Amino acid sequence: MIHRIRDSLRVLLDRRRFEREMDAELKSHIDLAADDLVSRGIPRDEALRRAHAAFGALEGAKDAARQARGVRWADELAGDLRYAFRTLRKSPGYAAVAIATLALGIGANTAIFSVVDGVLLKPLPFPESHRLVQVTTGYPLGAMWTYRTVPTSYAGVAAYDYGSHVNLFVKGEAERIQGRPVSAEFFSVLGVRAMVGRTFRVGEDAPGATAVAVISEGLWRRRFGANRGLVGQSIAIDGTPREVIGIVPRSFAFPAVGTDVWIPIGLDRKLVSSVWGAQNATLIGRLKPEVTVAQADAEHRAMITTVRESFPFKLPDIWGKHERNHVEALDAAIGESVQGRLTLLLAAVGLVLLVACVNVANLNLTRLAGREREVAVRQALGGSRLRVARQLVVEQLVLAAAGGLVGIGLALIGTPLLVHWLPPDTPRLDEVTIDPRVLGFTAIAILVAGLLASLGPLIRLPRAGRAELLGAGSRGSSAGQGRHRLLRALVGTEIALSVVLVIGAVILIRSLERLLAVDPGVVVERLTVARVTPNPNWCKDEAGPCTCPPGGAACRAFFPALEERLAALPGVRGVGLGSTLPLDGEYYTFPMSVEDHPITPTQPAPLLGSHTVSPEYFSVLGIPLLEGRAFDKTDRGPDNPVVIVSRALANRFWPGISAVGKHMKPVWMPKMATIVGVVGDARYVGLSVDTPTQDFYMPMEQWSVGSMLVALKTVARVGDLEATLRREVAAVDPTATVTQVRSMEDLLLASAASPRSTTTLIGLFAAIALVLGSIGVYGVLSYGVTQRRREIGIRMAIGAAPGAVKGMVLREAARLLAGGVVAGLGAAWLLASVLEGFVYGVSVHDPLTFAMVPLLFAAVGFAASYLPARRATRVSPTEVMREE
Amino acid sequence: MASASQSEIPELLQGTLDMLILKAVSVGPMHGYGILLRIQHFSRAALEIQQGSLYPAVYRLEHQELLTSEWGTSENNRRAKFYSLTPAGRRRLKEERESWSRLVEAISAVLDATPADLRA
Repeated sequence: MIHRIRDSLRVLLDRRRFEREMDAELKSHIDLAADDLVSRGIPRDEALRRAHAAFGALEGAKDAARQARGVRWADELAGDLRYAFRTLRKSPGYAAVAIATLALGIGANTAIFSVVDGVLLKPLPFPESHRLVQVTTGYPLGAMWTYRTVPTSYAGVAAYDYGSHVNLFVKGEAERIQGRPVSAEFFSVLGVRAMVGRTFRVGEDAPGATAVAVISEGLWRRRFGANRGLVGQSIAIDGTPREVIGIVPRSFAFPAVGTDVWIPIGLDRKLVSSVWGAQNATLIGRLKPEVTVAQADAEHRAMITTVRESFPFKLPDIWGKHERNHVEALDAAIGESVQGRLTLLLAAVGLVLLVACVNVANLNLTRLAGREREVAVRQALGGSRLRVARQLVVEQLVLAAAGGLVGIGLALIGTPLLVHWLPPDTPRLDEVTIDPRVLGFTAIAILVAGLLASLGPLIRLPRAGRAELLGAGSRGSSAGQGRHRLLRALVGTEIALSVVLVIGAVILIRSLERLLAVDPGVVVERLTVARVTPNPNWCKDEAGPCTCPPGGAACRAFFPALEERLAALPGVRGVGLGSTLPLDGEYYTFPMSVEDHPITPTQPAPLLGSHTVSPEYFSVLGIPLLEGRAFDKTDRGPDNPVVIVSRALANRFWPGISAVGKHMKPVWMPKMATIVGVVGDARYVGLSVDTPTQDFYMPMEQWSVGSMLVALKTVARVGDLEATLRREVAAVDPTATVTQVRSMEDLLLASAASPRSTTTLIGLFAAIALVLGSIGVYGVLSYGVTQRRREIGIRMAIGAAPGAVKGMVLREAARLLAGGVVAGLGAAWLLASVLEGFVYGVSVHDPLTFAMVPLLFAAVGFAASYLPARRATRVSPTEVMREE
Repeated sequence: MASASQSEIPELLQGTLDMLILKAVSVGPMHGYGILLRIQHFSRAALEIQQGSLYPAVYRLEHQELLTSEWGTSENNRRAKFYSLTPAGRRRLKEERESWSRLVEAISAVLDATPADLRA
């Protein structure tokens, strides 16, 4: 097989030489034959004439020879292409509609695929990225000490922190930028080198090491004018002077797009609460070449006990033993959060392409009605059935290619919009481009679309006998009827596919509606929130572990001072400060000692949600105080630590009795804090989580943190609140930064960003499918009316009322819709379970949706049948008779 | 349109024609016209090949790499393309020959059958 292709290619590549040699060979044949005749005494001229005659038709032989060398198909293909262009030019309307339909389908698929490819499929931009793995659950940073020494699966292990922002203070201007504390191995494990300077060395994350930082090419150009001399100089990050040791290229965006600075994570055994307190480190590793992910995973699971025992305090035996704690390929771990949604989108957009193809196939069938005679003539003139079929396929491929080109144009415009529309926390969005990989996918989509679109006419072709077709006119011949049946089947399919998409979209929309209607446990109106971060250097632990409160005097003084200034602003009715805000997504849990619930091997230290808040926090956010008291100005100093707990927490530990007066503390703290109040539950981790989280609140002046969210309750619309806020913050500390200024309503919307973007996109796809479906219905009904003009004319001539004729068309429409809708409902019912996990508060088999969508299709279908029905009543009997 | 009988004969002959060409070339490299003459000669003039159908067959065999070709000079000094067998062509000829013998034997057995064979 291969040598035949090679031979054909050789011939095709030097086509002229092939023809020349063939001519020469045939000429020599004739000459040799003539020579023979001449040697028998026949004159030269006569000999040549006879030799020619004996050979027969020269051109026929040449053509057969070309075919034998496997090149005739190329000639024919060229002919088919020319023919396709000619016919399409002759019917520009048809071509435009078909190209537009396919462009929409192929363009949407290209755009969605470019996202899927960039986010999920492309290898990560690191050398030998298949060897990179990640532990899928957060570990306390202290686990690094174990991971550096114990496991044998890795060439290297590194850790990075969840925390992602730092204050940068350059030339009198404070800016909050994305910064990551990472372990010293971070860059070497990923295999990334600095473009200027170097990356971290072993030991640079240990206590006592020189403070250093690696910065991004982006930051280097933006803030430092791409000055190479920056390396070796010192910059202030979070108030600490750090020597810039290297600059990494822009293409490196890990662990998040837009990360501008990497600093060594503090692996200091003395910092108990930061090293062991929160599970906020992500471990990544580079496997040794021969080790598989499964082996590393097995080793990881076997090591859980070792890690648990490395803690400076005792943890329950079940610590770490949950399903989510395993080792996974890094690309899979990164894409995991969005894989389901993107796959759903790809499936939905695939359906749109299918609907588009069926629509074009439809169009082709109705158009074939007008070309019956042409096709029949071609067949009668000896065009083989295969040849005519190929002609049709080539034509459709030309259309699909044109549609594909327009579609690529649409995707080039649409992909950036799409990327913008996706939730900003979608990983690897910077890697989304229309590249050769994506274009390869588009090429496949074009091929599939072209073949699918030509399927309809192809099925009809073999039955279209020559004589029958030659005789067939616009009258309802049997071929016309058969085609009409196929047409109805295609439109039925199209409707069924649209029904599936529309039902999916409606269920998602209803789910989103429910989600946004959830009571978040806070009053969101007229609330503006912002993150304020003072010089973080002020807020560092000063005297090792277990100080209460941590942080220096300047840090403790900053937020109360700011609170006071903000409260005095005109138009501001309340100021609340919190380390976290409901719906913001940030959520930290601490292992806690709880009174009446001693920690035993079977009763682990419960992990409870920890929040540090100002006294006004609850009233400003509208979180109701249910029992006891809120914090007040007396709750300061280390002697009488107090906490307030959420209702869910109180109910868990002290069901039926009052929690007020009970005690609890983070396990590493020396002193129990007294519970002074119980407040209502607020949704911290997301709207869709119905089980309330168990939260405790500590007063800001007993437990200060370096960065707080400020919530301002205002009377009505207040002018430029952001500028005012920045001014007030700068007045307290010019190095403090203000970021993420937005209204609480925006925050609420943002918390539903991913269901919103998925729902909008699928809604858009469903709308496209619905429009295409109604065009299909319109097309087939119009065709039906044209086919039955004569019948309708006769009916009207013998006295049928226009209403009856209209009814005929509408009945046809109803039949069409009924079949498609029933099939679609069935398919949607079977497929609905793919939406499981994407919906909130509504069943994936939502009866209301399944009942209403058919009504929608009925309405759309009858709207689409209006014009054909009216046209049917306008059929003039006399005209029809005259046409005969 | 070509008549039905004409379109059937090449079909019947197609496999055979390939075999005859391979055989003709197997005794020594030869050009197209010479192949025709050889087949005629070997068949004692009983077989006459349609000249027009020779080249498609030869080209097909070359396409399958059963034959190779080379330009040369004929005995009377004309430039001509000479075909010779490739190793694959030689193998194919052997196979064709064997299956042809089997076919002839089988058909002969049928044609030679007598009423006595009915009992066997």
